Amino acid sequence: MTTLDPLRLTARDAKRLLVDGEISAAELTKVFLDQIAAVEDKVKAFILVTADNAAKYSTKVDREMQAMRGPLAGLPIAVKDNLVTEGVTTTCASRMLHNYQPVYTATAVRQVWDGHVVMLGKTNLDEFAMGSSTEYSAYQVTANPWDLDTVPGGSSGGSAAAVAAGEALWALGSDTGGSVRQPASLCGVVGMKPTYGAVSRYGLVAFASSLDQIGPLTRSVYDCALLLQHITGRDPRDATSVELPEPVVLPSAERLDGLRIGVPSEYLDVGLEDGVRARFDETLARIEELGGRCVEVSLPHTEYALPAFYVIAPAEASANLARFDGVRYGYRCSDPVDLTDLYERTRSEGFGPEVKRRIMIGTYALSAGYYDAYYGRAQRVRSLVCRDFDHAFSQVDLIASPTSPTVAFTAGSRTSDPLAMYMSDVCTIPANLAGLPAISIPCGLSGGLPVGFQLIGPAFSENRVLAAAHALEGAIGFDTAPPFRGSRSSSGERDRGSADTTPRPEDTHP
Amino acid sequence: MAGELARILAHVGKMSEIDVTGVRPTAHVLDVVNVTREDKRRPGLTRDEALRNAPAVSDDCFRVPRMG
Amino acid sequence: MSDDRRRLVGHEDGTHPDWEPVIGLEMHVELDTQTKMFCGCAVTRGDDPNLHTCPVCLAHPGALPVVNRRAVEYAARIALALNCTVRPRSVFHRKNYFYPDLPKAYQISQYDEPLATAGWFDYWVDGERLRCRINRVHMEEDAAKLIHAGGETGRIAGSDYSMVDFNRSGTPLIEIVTEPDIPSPEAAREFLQQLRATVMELGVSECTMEEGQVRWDANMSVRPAGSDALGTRTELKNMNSFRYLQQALDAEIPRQIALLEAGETIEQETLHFDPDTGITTPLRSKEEAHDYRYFPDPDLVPLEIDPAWVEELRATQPELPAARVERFMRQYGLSRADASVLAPTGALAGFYEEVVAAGAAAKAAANWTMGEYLAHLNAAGLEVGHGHVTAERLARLVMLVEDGTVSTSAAKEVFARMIEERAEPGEVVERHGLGQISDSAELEAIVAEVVAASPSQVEQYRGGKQQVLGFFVGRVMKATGGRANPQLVNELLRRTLDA
Repeated sequence: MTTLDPLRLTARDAKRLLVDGEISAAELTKVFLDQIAAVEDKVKAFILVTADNAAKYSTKVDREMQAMRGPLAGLPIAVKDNLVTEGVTTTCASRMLHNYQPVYTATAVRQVWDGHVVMLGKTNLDEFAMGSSTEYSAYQVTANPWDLDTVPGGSSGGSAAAVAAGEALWALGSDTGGSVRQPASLCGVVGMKPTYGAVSRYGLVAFASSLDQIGPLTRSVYDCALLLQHITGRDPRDATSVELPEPVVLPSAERLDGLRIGVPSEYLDVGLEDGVRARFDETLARIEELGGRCVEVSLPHTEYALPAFYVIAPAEASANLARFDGVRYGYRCSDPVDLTDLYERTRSEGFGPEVKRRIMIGTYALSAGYYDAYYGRAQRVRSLVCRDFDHAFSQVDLIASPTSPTVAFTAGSRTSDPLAMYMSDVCTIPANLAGLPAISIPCGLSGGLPVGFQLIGPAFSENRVLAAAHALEGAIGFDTAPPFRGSRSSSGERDRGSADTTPRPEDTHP
Repeated sequence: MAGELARILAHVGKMSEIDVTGVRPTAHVLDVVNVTREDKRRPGLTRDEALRNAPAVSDDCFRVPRMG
Repeated sequence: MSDDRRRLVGHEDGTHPDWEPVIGLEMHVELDTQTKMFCGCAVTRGDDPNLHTCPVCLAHPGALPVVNRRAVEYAARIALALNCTVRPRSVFHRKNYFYPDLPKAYQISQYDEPLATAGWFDYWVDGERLRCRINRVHMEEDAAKLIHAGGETGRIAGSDYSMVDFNRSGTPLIEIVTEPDIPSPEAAREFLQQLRATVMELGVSECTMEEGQVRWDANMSVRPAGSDALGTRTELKNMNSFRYLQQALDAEIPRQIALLEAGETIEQETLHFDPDTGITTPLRSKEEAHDYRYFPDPDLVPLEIDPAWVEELRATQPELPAARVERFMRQYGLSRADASVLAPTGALAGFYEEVVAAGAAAKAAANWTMGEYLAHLNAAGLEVGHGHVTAERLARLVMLVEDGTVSTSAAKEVFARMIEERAEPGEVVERHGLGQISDSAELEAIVAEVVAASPSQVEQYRGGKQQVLGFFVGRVMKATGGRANPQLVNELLRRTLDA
């Protein structure tokens, strides 16, 4: 068996090794399980590692190689724990679902399972995907493998950290306001949010239904396209899912000749760190070197996108999370005296502070007398944001920006300031509001921490986005192996609530 | 928490700076209508599956405390 | 409109001529689709609990709704029957509130962009046609079933705990909302009965009342007679008995009038009607009035209904009760009263039309269908069409009466024996000698006997009291078991008595 470096191995290379018989699926899976055993203590990317299952299933893939063929067969994956998986506890990193045994499997997960991927486990996230640092998990704080004292971003921080730390070959995440791209940026991996509707949301525990999309987190743009190929498509169980007008193509472009890249000045005016700005400018220069042309564009309503998002997303969330009432599944408070008591204590004990905060904002924004000023207006602002993009895309093929204004920040530095946390997504939110495909690729380091470069395309331009990102990735030549520096001094179990009342999900997979 | 909420509401209140007269609200970015399904039965859950996650069960039903 | 109202109030509620009630109704109808509104679970009734559920109707995390196309068609059929405009675009909203029978803690319903608006429904009260405007028809999903256990059985108050059965959760539900156009409790009952018959006729719901497949809310207020203003209203929720609805309104209206006459104000509140005491009591007051925080459901996309499809539905609508009443009057020369009995339900109307088609005269067929036939069904507890007399046999009986083979009075016995013996009328007449006696020799003998047995009446008759003839006819009929040909009897009697 070849010695494999889990920190640098791509799915594309792993597949070639499998096909050439250089390595078995079981051996490949073991590479990642061993890495989990080695670093998970420090990284804490997983809420649940399904090691036995993964080992068993990978052996089965080897044994039944003829029946279990396909581009994804035998490739180990990590899945964000807000995608429901039948037979495997799904918690959404919430106490509310500490014991939830899904009775069905999310369509996107089903699609990769049907392709015989090997699931390594369920990754950590901000509770119900609400957050930008993965610190709002009810179970654990995930560390950024580049610097264990910093956060991996969020909400798909567990998936991003798992891929960065070599604990998974690739991963699935979900992106409502940047929850795939921002952690990808902070962890030095590739993350993509597809066009709204491209991937079925069936089985993705809803945060904000009109914004949520499932997306891949990978070590390369090629891998991103490969995974995307298998999760896109119209699902009869999701009325908001659509068939892509053209199938996802595996990218091979090395040049950007003739491509017009728009750079919106508004995205550079959001308090970018110097290092982020420097890497961004360098990347623009590379675009020109590759034959592309960078031009300034304007997205004038950018500054109103964040406020609109923080009305629309909480509003939808307030209804989406109302089903957690302690009646049919999940957490129930002890000995409720009556129905009101059941609701109040179950929800007050089951949800963490950020979730409660958003439910309160959302409830307020929808209430009689405030609807027009908040929700109604936010929907109109959303139209203006969409219009900005339409206008810009009449001039350019893609739009470029930094993914996050900053590199990974120190754990605990923003948890006491919700607005500062919300600002983490200022560059990613507009693409969710407009439903556009957007990718983040690593474009270098600043102070030893990764910087992400974002490309946004018109609706259903996945192939254009992936091709450009692929060419750029080749030119940048980013090394995905993180140094695991830092002491993780502030880490450990939850800093909220006492440890003995914090539920821990049991490893109950079959 | 009240102070935080007030700050967040003040921040989102920034939206009031712009004129949205005549702008249609966007509830959904998808340009899709009439997604329906045939009136055809599909297998659902067994009762055991339905009740598997229930915190309290009584007579094959989900049990809830008195209405209060 | 207002003229009708006043007139009705006048004879409905003579004790309060200064006030007129204003009633608005909401009717909920569960549709008889194969599957639920937003998932593929079977729509069932009366099954054991929690056998028809899935992640969608149990509201498991991540599950998503998809609209049942057939439910949209059924809803549109109802809307067309109520002369509504099916709107080119409609949207589903979320209506948010917590209750254990509502698994998502919101009901998917329609709000400011409903399926259909602005229609009307004509209905008849005491031979008078009233028109009620329909505000809207919209689609939503039903809640699960709550069973209250412990304490006083079946009641919320005092129960120890409740149980939830999700079989019904997500059943397609149509809400029909009227304008406040209904002028009396009796009119409210008539309106609902006739509306229910219309919905049943569409074949979209069986509208069984016991199982709550159809249920309604009423809101009512009173105002000074002739005024156009609307008073403060109270509401009665979730009723599924026509009788209780009328009783409740009958109790509520005088209560409101009494309060207003005493200079007090009406609380806007929801009332509970206790059929045992006949009294309405407040259920929850407006302080608890819900803010449902409606917003468009982002899991569903708008419906844009093709006008051509609407026309297609319109062209294939069945004949509705009101139209059939008119047709029966026109086509069969029936009175409105008779047509209003025969025409409203498809089964009875169909039976009647078969009787006529088999050769019976329209008017006689109507009398027999409404009289003996319905009485038979009632007595035997049978559905129309399932009685022991077919339309063809009834038609033949009617024809035997018409051609004089059987007398009208003997025909009733023939009918009874047709049921008993499951036999053709001809057979029964023959087997039991129930044919009309038109043999003058036979009748002459009986006439002679009757006349001989009543000398004093003979004297009266001959003294000029012509009406005594009826007495003799009766006697002859009695003696022949009603089989004597009445014309012939008359003739023979006159001949004998006048001789």
